[in-house]
Amino acid sequence: MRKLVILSLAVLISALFAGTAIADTIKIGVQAPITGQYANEGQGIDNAARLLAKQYNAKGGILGKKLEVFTCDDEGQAMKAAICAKELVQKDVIMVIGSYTSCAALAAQKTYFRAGVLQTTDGTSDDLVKEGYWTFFRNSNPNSAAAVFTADYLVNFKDFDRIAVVSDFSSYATGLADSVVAEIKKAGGNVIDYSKIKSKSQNFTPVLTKIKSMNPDAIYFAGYYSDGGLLRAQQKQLGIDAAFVGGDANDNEEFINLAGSAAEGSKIINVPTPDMLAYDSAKKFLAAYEKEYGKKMPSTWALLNADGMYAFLTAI
Amino acid sequence: MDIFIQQIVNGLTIGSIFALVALGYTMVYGVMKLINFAHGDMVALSAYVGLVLYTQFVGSGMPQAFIIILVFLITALIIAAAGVILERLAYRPLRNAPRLSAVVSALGASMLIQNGIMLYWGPNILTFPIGIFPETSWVIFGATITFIQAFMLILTVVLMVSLTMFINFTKYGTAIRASSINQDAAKLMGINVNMVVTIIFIIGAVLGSVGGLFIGIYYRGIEFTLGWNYGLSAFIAAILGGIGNIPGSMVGGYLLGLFTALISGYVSSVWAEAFTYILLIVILIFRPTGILGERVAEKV
Amino acid sequence: MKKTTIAYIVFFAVMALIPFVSNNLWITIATTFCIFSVVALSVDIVLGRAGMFDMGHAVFFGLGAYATAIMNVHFEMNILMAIQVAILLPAIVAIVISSPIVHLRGDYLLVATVGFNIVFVQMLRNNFLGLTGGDDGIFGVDAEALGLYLDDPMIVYFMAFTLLLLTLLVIRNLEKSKAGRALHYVQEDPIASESIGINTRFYRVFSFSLGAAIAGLAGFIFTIQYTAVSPSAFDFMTSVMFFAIVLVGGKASIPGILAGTFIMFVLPEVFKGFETYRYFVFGIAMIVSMVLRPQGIFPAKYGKLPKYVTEDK
Repeated sequence: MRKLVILSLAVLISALFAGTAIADTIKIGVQAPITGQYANEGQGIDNAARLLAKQYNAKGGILGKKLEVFTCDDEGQAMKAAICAKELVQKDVIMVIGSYTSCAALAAQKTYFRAGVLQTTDGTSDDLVKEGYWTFFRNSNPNSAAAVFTADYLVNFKDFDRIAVVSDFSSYATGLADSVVAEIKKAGGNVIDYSKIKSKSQNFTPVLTKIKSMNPDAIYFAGYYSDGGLLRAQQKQLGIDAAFVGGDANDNEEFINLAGSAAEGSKIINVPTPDMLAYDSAKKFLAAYEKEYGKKMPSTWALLNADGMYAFLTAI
Repeated sequence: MDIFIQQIVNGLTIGSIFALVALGYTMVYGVMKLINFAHGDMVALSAYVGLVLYTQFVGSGMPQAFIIILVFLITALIIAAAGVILERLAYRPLRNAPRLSAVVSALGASMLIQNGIMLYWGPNILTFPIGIFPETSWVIFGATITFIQAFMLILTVVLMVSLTMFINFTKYGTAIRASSINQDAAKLMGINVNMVVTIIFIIGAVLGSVGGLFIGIYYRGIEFTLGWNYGLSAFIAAILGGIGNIPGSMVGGYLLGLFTALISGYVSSVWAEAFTYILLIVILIFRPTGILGERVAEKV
Repeated sequence: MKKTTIAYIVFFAVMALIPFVSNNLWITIATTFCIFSVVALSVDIVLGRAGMFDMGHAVFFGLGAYATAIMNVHFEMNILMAIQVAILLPAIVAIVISSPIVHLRGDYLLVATVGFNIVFVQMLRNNFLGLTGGDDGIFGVDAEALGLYLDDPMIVYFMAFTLLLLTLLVIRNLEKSKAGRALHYVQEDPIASESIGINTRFYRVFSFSLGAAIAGLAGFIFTIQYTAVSPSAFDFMTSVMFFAIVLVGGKASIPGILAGTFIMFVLPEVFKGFETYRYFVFGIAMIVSMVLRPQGIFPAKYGKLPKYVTEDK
């Protein structure tokens, strides 16, 4: 049983190693999906936050202190986010940027609130502000606003009569789809079907075929780009002649790659894309991002989060 | 009615993939009584290899049909080699160890391949280019069938017929059947069981690689977790048909494809997966040897 | 004193000292180690001691965790009120779902438990009865009881540590009891044990429900630790991890299972920088350890029986 002793020693030593070295810096946490399904977006947010911190440090930091960025990977999942929240709080960060997905931001909210850590996210779920924590700030439009606009666009602007709504099982997509369905009904539109697909399952033809039989004018998809592109491609392949309108999380270049030739004609409702922004500061930041990382920012979300961080830093 | 036929076509398309992958599980189980958890990841690997090969060849000026044949053949060769190596390193040393040790080794191999793919190709989704196959489609009884779908169905059927002939009418096929009934007796009869195992790993890998390429070409988006997604479904298909039973897993693959298509089309897309697994559990309880499996008394 | 006893005393002393010599981050990791060890030990009751291939144990862990979260968040009950439910509910569900399947041969049982796990996770994701909160799960668990915040890292740690001690005690008693011996016979040879008057089916279901009850209690503390539950924590991959821990560590071997949990959940925290390589390295380690030691790292030894009795055929 010497093994047990060795094991206990290992535990003890690793515990001792975890000493704390506190330098005189302002610590900023980034909570984002660095790996997993939304890795593309998460890395964009992380890069943007680090870039902004670097820009500040070049100017001498804030209040004479340098900025230090800590990243925690939440994989876009609620449980991992709760762990991340505790970890970041234990590192004594004063603010947290992120996360990309609404559920990850939601799950972390309470921990940050108790510790008095500021949080800013691009999450769009309406539940985010339900609790009314003072530490929480969002930097994008809430789902309900997007839903009102979407419903208005579908029902009044495009005059679609028969709308089929599709979402996946995630909280973001379910929340968005629920509010879009409600708003369409309010606007007098007709939701003929509300189905769910399993994210990543790739085979969406059964659901699409069912929708086909209902002769829709438009298909609204409230999920993420990795499924949206395939959904659009399979819609075309089944010969469903309906307009495709995607929610904001479809706004990613991969959507076009996945949908292929079918991408043409599909519409995605979102706040303006990075290069469409007219503000000078935004353009400058984007150029700096491209120079630093040698690639374009994946989408608006990274910029929105950097924006939230900028607001916090200015406030300090 | 045309919608129903369309759902049947959908089910048969995905069912072809399930059936091809399921054969890999079933053949290995038949001979070695081992659930080869790494098989799904082999399928994922073949999709990635196929993508690399296709992008290499596509600008070379060869005719498109020739490129496609080349991609299928080379991918099959590479995956077959990988399958043989996997068996040598991870399974052969455990042939006489407790059964569960081999299962853990298979799980380890699965993690190894899956995360190897992630480390090499990155965690993001990769896409097959469009236009690998002509985008023609036909309308039959109101249901749309694309060129790719027809190609998939035909190639799957051809492969299955050849496999059945191989198993039933060749010397090697007889050796495989004998080994899956009783390995020790087969050894006594002078059958080289090591060779049989190598052959089934090669066949399983080749069929799986075709399935992987189908996934890439038809669904176009590939991801490193793809192996588990399809592997688990294909494994269920193998059990539905009776694991270890070769015609059974062909039938099981198509049945599972049809079942999921019809459930999510007509009953509930939200609960489709749960229904599939409940069906699986019910079948296990009442007919553990599967739909086509023979009822054999448990040996003591 | 026997060497084993000394080793255990040293181990527990070190575990008890951890909170006083390290910071919050490491207390959290040590808590995770305790909770996951308990779950792994509960899997071992079914897999290692009763010899049933259980690859769906996350169901029971999840039931305990969700029962706690649901009672606390939806019905606003004190968190401590959930203890009995977190133990009883998984135990009852285990009896219900295991009764029809325990007669299945090894691999079929494995597949059936995987099936239950996937159905369970889908129920959680679909916001079953409006209680499970869909894909996000449930958060905002209020762990205030007896005037304390139970989710304080120190308090959670001692709860988890106590649970680990309790579990080890239960297993020690099980090993020495009639039921433990019966399970051992059932695993070695079901038909022979049936013929000497052991009710195989009863003891198999019993091991399932005992394992489930312990895992459920671990789920209770898990919920307090994170103040949140979500479906992905209890999916099929979690079950696979515990399955692998038991077999890599050694069936029915307590030090083996503790070491397995340490390797799978604590080492990755130490080598944070290599996180992306984590599962890649695990994969290799699982193959290598099985090839070199098919019985596990620390195979269990059964007293002073002659070798021909304990050896596998």
